[in-house]
Amino acid sequence: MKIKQMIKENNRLQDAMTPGNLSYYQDMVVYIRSSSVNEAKGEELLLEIGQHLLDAQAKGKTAEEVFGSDPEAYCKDLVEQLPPMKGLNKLQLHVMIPWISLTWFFFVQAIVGFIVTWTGGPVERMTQVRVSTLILLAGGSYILIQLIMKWMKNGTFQPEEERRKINIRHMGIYVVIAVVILVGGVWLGRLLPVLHIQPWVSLVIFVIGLLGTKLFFSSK
Amino acid sequence: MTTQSQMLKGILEGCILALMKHREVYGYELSTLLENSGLTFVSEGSIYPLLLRMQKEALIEGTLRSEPGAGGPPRKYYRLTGKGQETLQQFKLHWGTLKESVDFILTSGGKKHED
Repeated sequence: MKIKQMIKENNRLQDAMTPGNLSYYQDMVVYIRSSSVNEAKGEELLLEIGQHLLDAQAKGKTAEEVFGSDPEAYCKDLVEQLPPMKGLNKLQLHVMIPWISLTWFFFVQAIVGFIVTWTGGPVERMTQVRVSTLILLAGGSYILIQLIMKWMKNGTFQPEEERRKINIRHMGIYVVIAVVILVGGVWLGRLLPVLHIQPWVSLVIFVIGLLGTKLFFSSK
Repeated sequence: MTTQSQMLKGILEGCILALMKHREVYGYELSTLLENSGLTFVSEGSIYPLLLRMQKEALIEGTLRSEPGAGGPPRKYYRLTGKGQETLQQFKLHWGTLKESVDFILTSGGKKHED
């Protein structure tokens, strides 16, 4: 069974769960999907335990009775036994975020460039791309998205009240890190060169980026 | 891990291998079979980390597929591998010896009857 099919089947299982069981199960899903395990094997396991939960639910049991009162420890046990993500998949996952953000940066760059050209605006200025901006975008998007993923995983299995407190704390840290990245970018901007990229070149880079996304990362 | 829980895990692993000896079994079915056999110390969910470890050690292998007769939900069916068969044989042998020794101690207090 393909990963896409398994995820579809998983959603179907979730539709049949009681609210209490669904909330318990969804935490398990977030935890396992955000762990660095073989994706196919992880989905297979989620499908298996989801189906088990439905069978037990039909007999009047709750998720806590089936998987225990400490879901985090239980999921840790499962993740320890699952095969780890392969090196290539891990690399794909790390490259994907900067790749996508740069691809869409060049899309915006191309559109703005064309509009300015057609309206007779300052083309020279609008086609400038700082090397520091590219580094900032690639690195910054990577750090910020990795942080969100990590926090999402840490937030699972926490009671609602605790989760809200953690979210507020994380939001503060997030803003501080974003500011540090921006300040770093301005400083870096003084050291690194500025490129002149014509709108049509930006468009070509965007198309190549989009094709690359489809080719290298489509299974993600 | 305590010695007791390690021992129980070993026994549980042997029982799982035995239940898969003649036919394929899926997770929920396995937990029901264990429970019906009186192994009530086993919580339902605890079989999954064990099944994953047994797959890693190549004692069993599993296939995800829909139940025969179509339309059923996809389940993962497990069966023994050659290595699993051998491990089951060893378990039976060890269990037989252990059971005999423990029974002997419990019934006679460890003393052989003298005629």
